[in-house]
Amino acid sequence: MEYTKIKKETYNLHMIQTDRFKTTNIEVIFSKKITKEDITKTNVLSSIMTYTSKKYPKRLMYTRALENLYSARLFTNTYRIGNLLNVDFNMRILDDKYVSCNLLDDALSFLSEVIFNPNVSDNKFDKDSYNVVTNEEKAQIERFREDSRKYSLMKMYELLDKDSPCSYNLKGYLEDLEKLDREKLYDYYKEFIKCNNIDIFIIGDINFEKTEKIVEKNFKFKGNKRVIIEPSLISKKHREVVQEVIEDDYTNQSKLSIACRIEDMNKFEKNYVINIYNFILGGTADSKFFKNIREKYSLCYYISSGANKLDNLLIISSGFSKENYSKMLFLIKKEMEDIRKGLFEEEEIEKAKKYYISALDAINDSENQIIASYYAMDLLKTESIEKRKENILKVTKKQIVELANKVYIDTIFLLGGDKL
Amino acid sequence: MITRELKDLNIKIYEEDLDNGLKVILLPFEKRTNYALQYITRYGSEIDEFISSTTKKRIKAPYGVAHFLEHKMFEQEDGLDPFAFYSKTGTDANASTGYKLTSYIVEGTTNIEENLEFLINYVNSPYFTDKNVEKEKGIIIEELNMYLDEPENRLFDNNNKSVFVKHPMRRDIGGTPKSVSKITKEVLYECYNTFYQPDNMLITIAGNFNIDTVMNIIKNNKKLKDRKKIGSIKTFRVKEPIRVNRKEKRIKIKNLFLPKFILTFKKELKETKAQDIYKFKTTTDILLFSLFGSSSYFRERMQANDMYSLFFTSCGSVDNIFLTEFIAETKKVDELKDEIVNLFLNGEITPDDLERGKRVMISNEIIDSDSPFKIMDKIVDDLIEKNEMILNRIEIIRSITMDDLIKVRKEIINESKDNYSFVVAYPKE
Repeated sequence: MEYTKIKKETYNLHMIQTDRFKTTNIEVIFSKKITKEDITKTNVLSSIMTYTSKKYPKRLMYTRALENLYSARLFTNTYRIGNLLNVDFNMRILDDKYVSCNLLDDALSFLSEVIFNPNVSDNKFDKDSYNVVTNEEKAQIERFREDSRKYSLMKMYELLDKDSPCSYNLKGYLEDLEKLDREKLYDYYKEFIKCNNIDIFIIGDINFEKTEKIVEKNFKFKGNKRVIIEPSLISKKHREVVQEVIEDDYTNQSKLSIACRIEDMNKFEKNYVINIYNFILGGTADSKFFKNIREKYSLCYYISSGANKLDNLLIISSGFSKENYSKMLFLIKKEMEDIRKGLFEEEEIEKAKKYYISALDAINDSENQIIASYYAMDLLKTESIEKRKENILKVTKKQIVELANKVYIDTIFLLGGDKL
Repeated sequence: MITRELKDLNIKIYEEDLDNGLKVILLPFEKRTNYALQYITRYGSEIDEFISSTTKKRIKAPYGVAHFLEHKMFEQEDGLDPFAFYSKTGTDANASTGYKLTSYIVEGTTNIEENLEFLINYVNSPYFTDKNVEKEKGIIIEELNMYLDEPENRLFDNNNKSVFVKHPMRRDIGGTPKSVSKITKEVLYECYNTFYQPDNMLITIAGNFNIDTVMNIIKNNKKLKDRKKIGSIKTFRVKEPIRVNRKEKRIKIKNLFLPKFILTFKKELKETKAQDIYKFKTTTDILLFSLFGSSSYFRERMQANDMYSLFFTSCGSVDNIFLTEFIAETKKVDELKDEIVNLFLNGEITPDDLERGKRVMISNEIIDSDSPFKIMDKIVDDLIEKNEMILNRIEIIRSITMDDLIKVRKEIINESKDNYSFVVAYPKE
């Protein structure tokens, strides 16, 4: 596998040559500082851009053009990385050798139509397309409440800090959708295409020189200047008194969400120690939470923790019968306290390190993970996979205990479990 | 050892049946870092009545016992459970229970030899006690409660009860909190001893590994060597009638915010060979693609009229039954249903639709073949369902003609135009 990055005036081009896959993947990443107001607009915009285009103004023409590219797949994905709101345009095509034509060339020209030539006239997006994508966005927002586990997490984030990007719902907001119209969306498009940082990734059995030329021909951004944005959120202090909120809901099971602030992590802790801490606490099927709370006390089916170094948060999630709530809280706190006191074995650290290394090794089996890994190295200055493997081995028990003492429960939210 | 090749994909599959009846399927993939091991028994939630291989008595087991057994296999007498063992090398261990099979899965990047050895050993070492069986009930009941809280699952559950008259698909794989609470260690041993026999099981390995190394481990494993063939297992199954159980069912579901429905056309599956079933299903897929797919007139028109916010189609067989399904999220439930039925029965298909459909199917097969795990899943499905492997999927897709399309269509319409179930879920309050 060979990687190269070329800095262009308005975007960065990353190319990865490998013969591991039968497909070529193209990912165009738009990235800017997140605001709550932009989320709904971004969702609608990325949907409408991949619904029709100026060249393919009817849905049927658009989908058949994709089909003619040997059933190419093109989808978008909106997500948050700390302070950043990212949108990926992700295209997957068969490798040229399976189709005996220059599919990459045709695919990039299609993608260029999608990005630079949207279905706009009189400074407004196409009416039919607009109606369809806004209806779908509305349904997506309404449907969110159907998943009580995710809803519990979202409510917990809002209680934790409603002004922080970590509490923004990436499905969007109905009030923002109501404010939007076809003209405003086009205004937003003009801003979107100019004001984002742009990274183009292409991975496959490609020739760098040839691919660079095709990209140059098809991607002509105007005036985009790379803006440096700090991805990490500011580390905040935890509440003096833990915030605990219980909301009634008619479900069979209570959904518990807990946010812990991790205060003042240094770089090494953010990149390495926190992962090991999380694996030991609740990140795997051999973690303290799983072994003790699930297996020993059989109180729940799922219980897990996840760490986010950019948000400086550790999130705990579980589902169980409401009558066991206080017992669950007691046990969760006890496991956390045990790590703080150093009551865990060297073996648990070794296992966590192995998990980390194994996950790094498996990156090479997925095009999207390879891209994500190079993107993280570029954006977050993450070290190379080899370097990460070396560094993870340096994590000591003392460091884990130190970190554990910087983790504070801030907000506890319990949803439902009130059977009808 | 038999070597087979997946036509048009340049992929080799190796198969060997051991003396004790265990089947081994190997799919080495050079360009891969990780591997997946699976130890599978042809025993899932659909079997609840059988003749015990030890006592020869007829056993009626509580619903959900196959899934319970899957959980309990992770309990080991020496205390070293699979999660603890595999985590030492950063390997993932998991298991899953379906209607027709239970599978124990290991995914990793290193230590394949020890990991395979351990997999064989632990699946061959049941250890059930009154205490550990009792303990598991709390966990499983919470698992069932988790699914009960997912509104979509309520819809699918109601749908299965509408479509099927007698088939075990009417029941949840995990059983109910009530049936689970009746499970004992005795019944777990009965099920284990009957269905976890080498000639009822297979081991599959896909990804990065060496054939000789893994075969050596499988052939020399002591626990496996001790196991003998037991021959055919007698199970009791009722034959599923062709008619749908309920034509229409409208329900209200808590925490559902947008109405959803499932419309299912049911007919008899006459094909018996894996290849013929695959051809019938793929022809139906092309039919659905042409009439209802992302590039159909139907979708363009429906979306322009805000007729749905989600819409999928699917088709497939369950034993002697073939189902064609339409799933939608919509505020215009009855209007959309009428549009679907009308187009399904009367819509036109052109040779151009067929060619486009075939091209999409072939492209999907090639993309799927990038993953040895996906290929292995298809092989296992074929083997469990029909005891055959389909090696020429792309060739079969290419062979589909306009005549095939017309014939399949006519058959589905004739047999299921008056035999469909319609289940609608509305928000409660």
